[in-house]
Amino acid sequence: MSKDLAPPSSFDPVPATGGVRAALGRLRQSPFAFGGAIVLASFALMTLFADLLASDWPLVCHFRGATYVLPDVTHPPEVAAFNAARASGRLGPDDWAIRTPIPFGASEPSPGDALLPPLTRAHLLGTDSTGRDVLARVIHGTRTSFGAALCAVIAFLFVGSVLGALGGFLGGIIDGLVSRIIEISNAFPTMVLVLVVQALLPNPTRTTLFMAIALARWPEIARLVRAEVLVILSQDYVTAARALGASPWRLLMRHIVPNARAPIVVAAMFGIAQVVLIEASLSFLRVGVPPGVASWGEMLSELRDHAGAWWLLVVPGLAVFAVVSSLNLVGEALRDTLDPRLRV
Amino acid sequence: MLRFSTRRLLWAIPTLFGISILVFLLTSLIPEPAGPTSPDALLALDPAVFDALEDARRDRFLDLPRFVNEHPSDVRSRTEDALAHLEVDDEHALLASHTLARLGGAAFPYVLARVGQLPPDARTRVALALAPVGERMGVGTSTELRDPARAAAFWIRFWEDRSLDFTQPSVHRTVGRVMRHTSELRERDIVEVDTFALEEMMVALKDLRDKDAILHLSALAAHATGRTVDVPDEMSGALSGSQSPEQIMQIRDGWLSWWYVHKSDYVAFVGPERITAAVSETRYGKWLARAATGEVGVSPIDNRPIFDKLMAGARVTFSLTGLAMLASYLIALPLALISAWRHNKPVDRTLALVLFVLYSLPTFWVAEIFLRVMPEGSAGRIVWPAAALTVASLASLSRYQRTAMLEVLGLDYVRTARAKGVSEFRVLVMHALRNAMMPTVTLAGLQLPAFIGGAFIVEEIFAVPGLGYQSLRAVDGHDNAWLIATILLTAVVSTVGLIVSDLAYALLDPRVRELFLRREGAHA
Repeated sequence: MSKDLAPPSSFDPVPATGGVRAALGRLRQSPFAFGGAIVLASFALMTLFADLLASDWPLVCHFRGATYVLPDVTHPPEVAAFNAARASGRLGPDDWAIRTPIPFGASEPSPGDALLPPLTRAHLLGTDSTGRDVLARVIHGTRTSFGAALCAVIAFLFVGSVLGALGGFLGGIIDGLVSRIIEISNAFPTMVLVLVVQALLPNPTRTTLFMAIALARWPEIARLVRAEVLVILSQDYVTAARALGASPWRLLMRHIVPNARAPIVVAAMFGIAQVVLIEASLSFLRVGVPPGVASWGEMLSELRDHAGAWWLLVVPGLAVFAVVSSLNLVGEALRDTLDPRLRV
Repeated sequence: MLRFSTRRLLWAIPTLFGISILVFLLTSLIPEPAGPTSPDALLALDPAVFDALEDARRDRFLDLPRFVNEHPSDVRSRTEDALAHLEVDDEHALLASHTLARLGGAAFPYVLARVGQLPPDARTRVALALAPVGERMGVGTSTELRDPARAAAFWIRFWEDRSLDFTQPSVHRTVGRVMRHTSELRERDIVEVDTFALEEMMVALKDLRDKDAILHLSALAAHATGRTVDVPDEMSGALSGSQSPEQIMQIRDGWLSWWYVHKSDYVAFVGPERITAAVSETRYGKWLARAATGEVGVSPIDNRPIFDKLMAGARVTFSLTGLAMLASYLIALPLALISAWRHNKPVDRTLALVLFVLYSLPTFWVAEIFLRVMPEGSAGRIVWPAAALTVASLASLSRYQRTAMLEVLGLDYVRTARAKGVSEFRVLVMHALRNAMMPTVTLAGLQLPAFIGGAFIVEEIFAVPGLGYQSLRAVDGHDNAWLIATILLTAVVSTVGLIVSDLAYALLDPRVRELFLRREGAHA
């Protein structure tokens, strides 16, 4: 059984110490991890406010006697003519607009501006092969590469935790079944499984991509949670609680859930990093997100046709690296505070 | 150790079974062939269109239930079903007569023996439905077959004269004669029993190497079934004599895989077959049996058998994976040694930083860099892709090994060794590394899927024709059978890798054996 022969990190486990809150407090003391947390927070903000940072549409505009706020969000039909009018220089004297900091959207191609290197014609980080602004696409790509990855991780954390905890807590046939499913799913290389699922689906979308990734990754979490629950169950305080007549429900809510929470948070950090890498790799191979959806991996895939465009390698590559390394830094810092035995 | 090994290997059986079920469920994602599904719409179709649609569905066993077949249909039940529809002449009668014509001679023992007991008008309908079969067999005149007044009488007389030809021993002899020496007369004997001879012919085909005999049997089978052979090279058993040996083998394999799909149309299940058919005559059963024998079809991209392509790709991918794994260990272990030796010194800190950066970089990014620094003319060699995969996968191993080393260095027996005056080098290599290495080496089994995934990316970037490169071509070419075969292969190989590494671990560390045999939950 592979789970019995797991690497020593789970071989001779010690109970988790301290809560998540304490760990987050101690995070401040590690400058690297603190920096990583700040990077992650800024990417999270970018995900939320991508449309306010980079858009074809103005933030606020005054057009034909009326003022529109955030037309990109509200989509009033009258403003549809605004961009066309501006492009052809037919704006009236009273019309004005406040643009987003990066005045380009992520999806509108402009073939005239193809493959501009950085710092040319207002494109701070250059353009891709169809003339789309690289910086705008990196910002909007955050939604797929970071935001959607986050959602996928939350989904499989939930499924994995519940099934793993059930297996560990109930034991018997259910545990055998859960362990078997975990072992079966672990045999599939994640990359290959997601690639095949996306290729076989008649209409692969971004949602199916992340669902497939979640399908491939949940056993990892279930395995971890199951092992953690078994360790907690063997502790003296659980025996004591049992001796005092605690019901299984109380045992679960008072002892197991609070103690298993911390390792799950750590696993979540590394889990997101994994998902970001998998999504980037698959999109790079053009079997990930469907065409037209901005994602870092999909931006990097343009390299294969335009090997000379170094900024297409560097800019989205750096974004992937920044997110993944920040997640790893924060994850490691959390793990070290929660499980000092593993401190390197 | 023996007890452990047997237990471990036995545990692998349910796992492999589960893998096969999961992959089988993946095949359900493939959209079904487009076409009408209601009987009415099917009836409106041209018979040729109907047959093509039916074949496309049956190639994927979509006509069968998924896991359990309570009423497996064979030639007998299909015939009886068709007869029932013809007898009452309901809306399925047209389809039923089409079915009877397709089943042909194989259905005769069930049709003609009963045709005399049918009411006269039903008898006529059945007899007329058999007209195409009679024409195919070259018996009777067109008026005898097509005239409603005479058809039934003709078939009843035919059965009185010829029923002895439609028995297993007789057909066995006939096919044997054709195999020994073909002549027009002997081939006529086979044509005259029509599809009834198919089973014997396919059994004979299976072990046949002789080119002429294969072509003859193929032509006879094509005549009886009306199957135009789908391998493009003027197949259908054209006796031009110009086919290469590979094409002949393709013709033979084409027939055998067709037989695998359509066997139940021409053969009745007898004896224990009737019981096992409940499991074997299902979508999963048929699919698994075919996958297990490596009969996974022909690629629509280049018309090569998928199995051969798979083996060629697997050789590349697994040598790439093996090479990269070996190299990762050869580099990661000394690096960890240096880190542990110079713990918290500048060397250790620099190494830790470099490895952390590598750890956070996507594999394809590293590979792209390698592609750019690779010297001219080394394209197509496996060394550079393997190096890229090594560098991309090195970090996690090395970081893991370093942690293990530091942990071991803090243990009492290391302190004892140092106190005894053992040299630092000896302590590090003989005491610490040897013990810290064990779990890392067995990590190989768990790492294998990750390495395979990495190989898929690296292959595509370096255009190495392994499984990954071919899979991406298969995605573009909608070669679903290839994708299914690939995922099945990689999952099975990963499982085998896991078993091997578990066995190795148990061999090195007796504690693991006991743990496994006791199955103590707390140490999961």
